[in-house]
Amino acid sequence: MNGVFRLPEAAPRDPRIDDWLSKRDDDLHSLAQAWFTRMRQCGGDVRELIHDGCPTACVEDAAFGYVNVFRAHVNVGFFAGAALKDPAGLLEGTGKYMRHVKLRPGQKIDSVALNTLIYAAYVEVKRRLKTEEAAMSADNT
Amino acid sequence: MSPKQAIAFVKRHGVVLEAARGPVRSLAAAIAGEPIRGSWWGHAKGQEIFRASRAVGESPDVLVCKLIDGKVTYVHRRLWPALVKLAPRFRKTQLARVREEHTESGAHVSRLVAFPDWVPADVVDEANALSLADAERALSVLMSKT
Repeated sequence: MNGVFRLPEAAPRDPRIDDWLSKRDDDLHSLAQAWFTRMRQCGGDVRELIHDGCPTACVEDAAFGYVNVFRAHVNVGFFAGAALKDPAGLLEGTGKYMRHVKLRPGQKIDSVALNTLIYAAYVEVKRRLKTEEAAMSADNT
Repeated sequence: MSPKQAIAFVKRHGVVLEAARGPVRSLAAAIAGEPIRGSWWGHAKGQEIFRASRAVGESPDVLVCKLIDGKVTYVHRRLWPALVKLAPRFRKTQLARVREEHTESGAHVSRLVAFPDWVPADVVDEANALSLADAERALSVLMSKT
Protein backbone atom coordinates (compact mmCIF):
# COMPACT_ATOMS: atom_id res chain seq x y z
CA MET A 1 0.00 0.00 0.00
CA ASN A 2 1.45 3.37 -0.96
CA GLY A 3 -1.28 5.50 0.52
CA VAL A 4 -3.11 6.26 -2.71
CA PHE A 5 -6.80 6.64 -1.96
CA ARG A 6 -8.64 5.66 -5.15
CA LEU A 7 -12.03 7.13 -5.98
CA PRO A 8 -12.79 6.03 -9.54
CA GLU A 9 -16.08 7.95 -9.63
CA ALA A 10 -14.23 11.30 -9.60
CA ALA A 11 -15.18 13.55 -12.52
CA PRO A 12 -13.80 16.78 -13.95
CA ARG A 13 -16.74 18.58 -12.45
CA ASP A 14 -19.34 17.31 -10.00
CA PRO A 15 -22.35 19.65 -9.78
CA ARG A 16 -23.21 18.27 -6.35
CA ILE A 17 -20.13 20.01 -5.00
CA ASP A 18 -21.29 23.51 -5.86
CA ASP A 19 -24.66 22.68 -4.34
CA TRP A 20 -22.90 21.45 -1.21
CA LEU A 21 -20.65 24.48 -0.96
CA SER A 22 -23.46 26.95 -1.42
CA LYS A 23 -26.16 25.19 0.54
CA ARG A 24 -25.79 27.79 3.31
CA ASP A 25 -24.78 31.39 2.98
CA ASP A 26 -22.53 31.55 6.01
CA ASP A 27 -18.89 32.09 6.89
CA LEU A 28 -18.18 28.39 7.27
CA HIS A 29 -19.38 27.52 3.79
CA SER A 30 -17.62 30.55 2.32
CA LEU A 31 -14.36 29.32 3.84
CA ALA A 32 -14.91 25.82 2.53
CA GLN A 33 -15.74 27.17 -0.91
CA ALA A 34 -12.62 29.34 -1.05
CA TRP A 35 -10.25 26.53 -0.14
CA PHE A 36 -11.92 23.92 -2.31
CA THR A 37 -11.61 26.34 -5.22
CA ARG A 38 -7.89 26.45 -4.49
CA MET A 39 -7.78 22.65 -4.77
CA ARG A 40 -9.58 22.79 -8.09
CA GLN A 41 -6.94 25.19 -9.37
CA CYS A 42 -3.99 22.89 -8.69
CA GLY A 43 -3.92 21.44 -12.21
CA GLY A 44 -5.84 20.36 -15.25
CA ASP A 45 -5.92 16.77 -14.02
CA VAL A 46 -7.91 17.60 -10.89
CA ARG A 47 -11.13 15.62 -10.57
CA GLU A 48 -13.76 15.90 -7.89
CA LEU A 49 -16.66 14.17 -6.21
CA ILE A 50 -18.61 14.02 -3.01
CA HIS A 51 -16.99 11.29 -0.93
CA ASP A 52 -17.99 10.47 2.60
CA GLY A 53 -20.38 13.41 2.52
CA CYS A 54 -17.91 16.13 1.62
CA PRO A 55 -16.26 17.73 -1.44
CA THR A 56 -13.13 15.80 -2.34
CA ALA A 57 -10.43 16.72 -4.85
CA CYS A 58 -8.44 14.09 -6.73
CA VAL A 59 -5.53 13.85 -9.12
CA GLU A 60 -7.21 11.70 -11.73
CA ASP A 61 -8.86 9.15 -9.41
CA ALA A 62 -6.51 9.57 -6.44
CA ALA A 63 -7.84 11.76 -3.65
CA PHE A 64 -5.55 14.48 -2.33
CA GLY A 65 -7.80 16.88 -0.43
CA TYR A 66 -11.23 17.58 0.94
CA VAL A 67 -13.14 20.23 2.80
CA ASN A 68 -15.74 19.61 5.44
CA VAL A 69 -17.91 21.96 7.47
CA PHE A 70 -18.59 21.36 11.15
CA ARG A 71 -20.63 23.38 13.63
CA ALA A 72 -17.93 25.93 14.38
CA HIS A 73 -15.06 25.14 12.06
CA VAL A 74 -14.01 23.98 8.63
CA ASN A 75 -11.54 21.19 7.99
CA VAL A 76 -9.25 21.33 5.01
CA GLY A 77 -7.98 17.76 4.85
CA PHE A 78 -5.25 15.90 3.02
CA PHE A 79 -5.24 12.19 2.17
CA ALA A 80 -1.44 12.01 2.21
CA GLY A 81 -1.10 14.76 4.79
CA ALA A 82 1.38 12.87 6.95
CA ALA A 83 3.95 13.16 4.16
CA LEU A 84 3.66 16.94 3.85
CA LYS A 85 6.20 19.41 5.17
CA ASP A 86 4.42 21.78 7.50
CA PRO A 87 6.79 24.46 8.75
CA ALA A 88 3.87 26.66 9.85
CA GLY A 89 2.51 23.85 12.04
CA LEU A 90 -1.01 23.97 10.61
CA LEU A 91 -1.64 20.26 10.30
CA GLU A 92 -3.53 18.24 12.89
CA GLY A 93 -4.07 14.51 13.18
CA THR A 94 -2.05 11.45 14.03
CA GLY A 95 -3.13 8.82 11.52
CA LYS A 96 -0.80 7.05 9.14
CA TYR A 97 -1.86 9.17 6.17
CA MET A 98 -4.58 11.70 6.94
CA ARG A 99 -4.00 15.22 8.25
CA HIS A 100 -6.23 18.29 8.35
CA VAL A 101 -6.12 22.01 9.00
CA LYS A 102 -8.86 23.52 11.15
CA LEU A 103 -10.18 26.92 10.14
CA ARG A 104 -12.50 29.03 12.25
CA PRO A 105 -14.34 32.09 10.96
CA GLY A 106 -12.85 35.28 12.32
CA GLN A 107 -9.55 33.60 13.10
CA LYS A 108 -6.47 34.64 11.15
CA ILE A 109 -5.52 32.13 8.46
CA ASP A 110 -1.96 31.66 7.27
CA SER A 111 -3.09 31.69 3.65
CA VAL A 112 0.37 31.35 2.17
CA ALA A 113 1.12 28.28 4.25
CA LEU A 114 -2.26 26.70 3.52
CA ASN A 115 -1.94 27.39 -0.20
CA THR A 116 1.47 25.75 -0.10
CA LEU A 117 0.08 22.72 1.71
CA ILE A 118 -2.73 22.29 -0.81
CA TYR A 119 -0.38 22.40 -3.75
CA ALA A 120 2.11 20.13 -1.98
CA ALA A 121 -0.70 17.65 -1.31
CA TYR A 122 -1.56 17.65 -5.00
CA VAL A 123 2.08 17.16 -6.01
CA GLU A 124 2.60 14.41 -3.44
CA VAL A 125 -0.34 12.35 -4.72
CA LYS A 126 0.79 12.92 -8.30
CA ARG A 127 4.23 11.64 -7.33
CA ARG A 128 2.71 8.53 -5.72
CA LEU A 129 0.71 7.82 -8.85
CA LYS A 130 3.87 8.02 -10.95
CA THR A 131 5.71 5.72 -8.55
CA GLU A 132 2.85 3.25 -8.68
CA GLU A 133 2.73 3.41 -12.46
CA ALA A 134 6.49 2.83 -12.69
CA ALA A 135 6.24 -0.15 -10.34
CA MET A 136 3.43 -1.65 -12.41
CA SER A 137 5.41 -1.16 -15.61
CA ALA A 138 8.39 -2.87 -14.02
CA ASP A 139 6.17 -5.78 -12.92
CA ASN A 140 4.87 -6.19 -16.46
CA THR A 141 8.31 -6.36 -18.06
CA MET B 1 -4.44 -24.58 19.59
CA SER B 2 -8.09 -25.60 19.34
CA PRO B 3 -10.27 -24.28 16.50
CA LYS B 4 -11.99 -22.00 19.01
CA GLN B 5 -8.67 -20.67 20.17
CA ALA B 6 -7.63 -20.10 16.57
CA ILE B 7 -10.67 -17.86 15.99
CA ALA B 8 -9.88 -16.04 19.25
CA PHE B 9 -6.30 -15.58 18.00
CA VAL B 10 -7.61 -13.90 14.83
CA LYS B 11 -9.96 -11.75 16.88
CA ARG B 12 -7.17 -10.65 19.19
CA HIS B 13 -4.73 -9.73 16.42
CA GLY B 14 -7.34 -8.46 13.96
CA VAL B 15 -5.35 -9.24 10.83
CA VAL B 16 -3.50 -12.56 10.58
CA LEU B 17 -1.81 -14.43 7.76
CA GLU B 18 -2.81 -18.05 7.31
CA ALA B 19 0.74 -19.31 6.98
CA ALA B 20 2.91 -16.91 5.02
CA ARG B 21 5.59 -14.82 6.60
CA GLY B 22 4.74 -11.15 6.57
CA PRO B 23 4.11 -8.00 8.51
CA VAL B 24 1.46 -9.55 10.80
CA ARG B 25 1.21 -12.76 12.84
CA SER B 26 0.87 -16.09 11.07
CA LEU B 27 -1.66 -18.59 12.41
CA ALA B 28 0.40 -21.58 11.27
CA ALA B 29 3.56 -20.24 12.87
CA ALA B 30 1.68 -19.48 16.09
CA ILE B 31 0.46 -23.09 16.25
CA ALA B 32 3.82 -24.54 15.30
CA GLY B 33 5.55 -22.31 17.81
CA GLU B 34 8.18 -21.51 15.23
CA PRO B 35 8.49 -20.09 11.71
CA ILE B 36 7.59 -22.75 9.15
CA ARG B 37 9.83 -23.35 6.16
CA GLY B 38 7.93 -24.43 3.08
CA SER B 39 4.46 -25.94 3.32
CA TRP B 40 2.90 -26.48 6.74
CA TRP B 41 1.32 -29.72 5.53
CA GLY B 42 4.50 -31.60 6.32
CA HIS B 43 4.98 -30.01 9.73
CA ALA B 44 4.53 -32.13 12.85
CA LYS B 45 1.56 -29.94 13.76
CA GLY B 46 0.15 -29.93 10.24
CA GLN B 47 -3.13 -31.59 11.30
CA GLU B 48 -3.66 -29.04 14.05
CA ILE B 49 -2.93 -26.21 11.63
CA PHE B 50 -5.39 -27.71 9.14
CA ARG B 51 -8.18 -27.93 11.70
CA ALA B 52 -7.51 -24.41 12.97
CA SER B 53 -7.34 -22.82 9.52
CA ARG B 54 -10.51 -24.62 8.44
CA ALA B 55 -12.36 -23.36 11.52
CA VAL B 56 -11.15 -19.82 10.95
CA GLY B 57 -12.05 -20.00 7.27
CA GLU B 58 -15.57 -21.15 8.10
CA SER B 59 -16.16 -18.58 10.82
CA PRO B 60 -18.77 -15.96 9.88
CA ASP B 61 -16.70 -13.44 11.81
CA VAL B 62 -13.60 -13.83 9.69
CA LEU B 63 -12.96 -12.53 6.20
CA VAL B 64 -10.59 -14.71 4.22
CA CYS B 65 -8.93 -12.67 1.51
CA LYS B 66 -5.55 -12.02 -0.09
CA LEU B 67 -4.95 -8.67 1.50
CA ILE B 68 -1.24 -8.93 2.20
CA ASP B 69 1.11 -9.68 -0.69
CA GLY B 70 -1.45 -11.94 -2.36
CA LYS B 71 -1.27 -14.38 0.58
CA VAL B 72 -4.24 -15.84 2.43
CA THR B 73 -5.08 -13.29 5.11
CA TYR B 74 -7.71 -13.41 7.85
CA VAL B 75 -9.42 -10.19 8.92
CA HIS B 76 -11.68 -10.33 11.96
CA ARG B 77 -15.10 -8.73 11.76
CA ARG B 78 -14.17 -6.11 14.36
CA LEU B 79 -11.93 -4.53 11.71
CA TRP B 80 -14.32 -4.78 8.77
CA PRO B 81 -15.75 -1.26 9.23
CA ALA B 82 -12.24 0.19 9.11
CA LEU B 83 -11.39 -1.97 6.12
CA VAL B 84 -14.50 -0.79 4.28
CA LYS B 85 -13.77 2.82 5.16
CA LEU B 86 -10.23 2.51 3.82
CA ALA B 87 -11.19 0.38 0.81
CA PRO B 88 -10.09 3.11 -1.64
CA ARG B 89 -6.53 2.56 -0.41
CA PHE B 90 -6.62 -1.10 -1.52
CA ARG B 91 -7.02 -2.90 -4.81
CA LYS B 92 -10.35 -4.67 -5.17
CA THR B 93 -8.57 -8.00 -5.57
CA GLN B 94 -7.10 -7.54 -2.10
CA LEU B 95 -10.57 -7.17 -0.62
CA ALA B 96 -12.35 -10.00 -2.42
CA ARG B 97 -13.57 -12.77 -0.12
CA VAL B 98 -12.01 -16.16 -0.81
CA ARG B 99 -14.37 -19.05 -0.14
CA GLU B 100 -13.20 -22.63 -0.13
CA GLU B 101 -15.84 -24.95 -1.52
CA HIS B 102 -16.11 -28.63 -2.26
CA THR B 103 -17.55 -29.63 -5.61
CA GLU B 104 -19.83 -32.64 -6.04
CA SER B 105 -16.83 -34.65 -7.11
CA GLY B 106 -15.14 -33.78 -3.84
CA ALA B 107 -12.61 -31.46 -5.41
CA HIS B 108 -11.58 -28.39 -3.51
CA VAL B 109 -12.07 -25.04 -5.25
CA SER B 110 -11.63 -21.41 -4.27
CA ARG B 111 -14.38 -18.99 -5.20
CA LEU B 112 -14.11 -15.23 -5.00
CA VAL B 113 -16.84 -12.93 -3.76
CA ALA B 114 -16.07 -9.45 -5.04
CA PHE B 115 -15.78 -6.49 -2.73
CA PRO B 116 -18.15 -5.03 -1.55
CA ASP B 117 -20.66 -7.82 -2.25
CA TRP B 118 -19.68 -9.69 0.91
CA VAL B 119 -19.96 -6.69 3.22
CA PRO B 120 -22.99 -6.88 5.56
CA ALA B 121 -25.23 -3.81 5.72
CA ASP B 122 -24.51 -3.17 9.40
CA VAL B 123 -20.80 -3.06 8.65
CA VAL B 124 -21.44 -0.47 5.94
CA ASP B 125 -23.35 1.60 8.51
CA GLU B 126 -20.50 1.29 10.98
CA ALA B 127 -18.01 2.27 8.28
CA ASN B 128 -20.06 5.34 7.41
CA ALA B 129 -20.01 6.41 11.03
CA LEU B 130 -16.25 5.99 11.28
CA SER B 131 -13.83 8.79 10.47
CA LEU B 132 -10.92 8.07 8.16
CA ALA B 133 -8.51 8.88 10.98
CA ASP B 134 -10.21 6.36 13.29
CA ALA B 135 -10.16 3.77 10.53
CA GLU B 136 -6.44 4.35 10.03
CA ARG B 137 -5.88 3.92 13.75
CA ALA B 138 -7.89 0.68 13.82
CA LEU B 139 -5.87 -0.75 10.93
CA SER B 140 -2.57 0.75 11.99
CA VAL B 141 -0.92 -2.65 12.07
CA LEU B 142 -1.65 -2.92 8.38
CA MET B 143 -1.25 0.67 7.33
CA SER B 144 2.34 0.84 8.45
CA LYS B 145 3.44 -2.37 6.85
CA THR B 146 1.66 -3.11 3.60
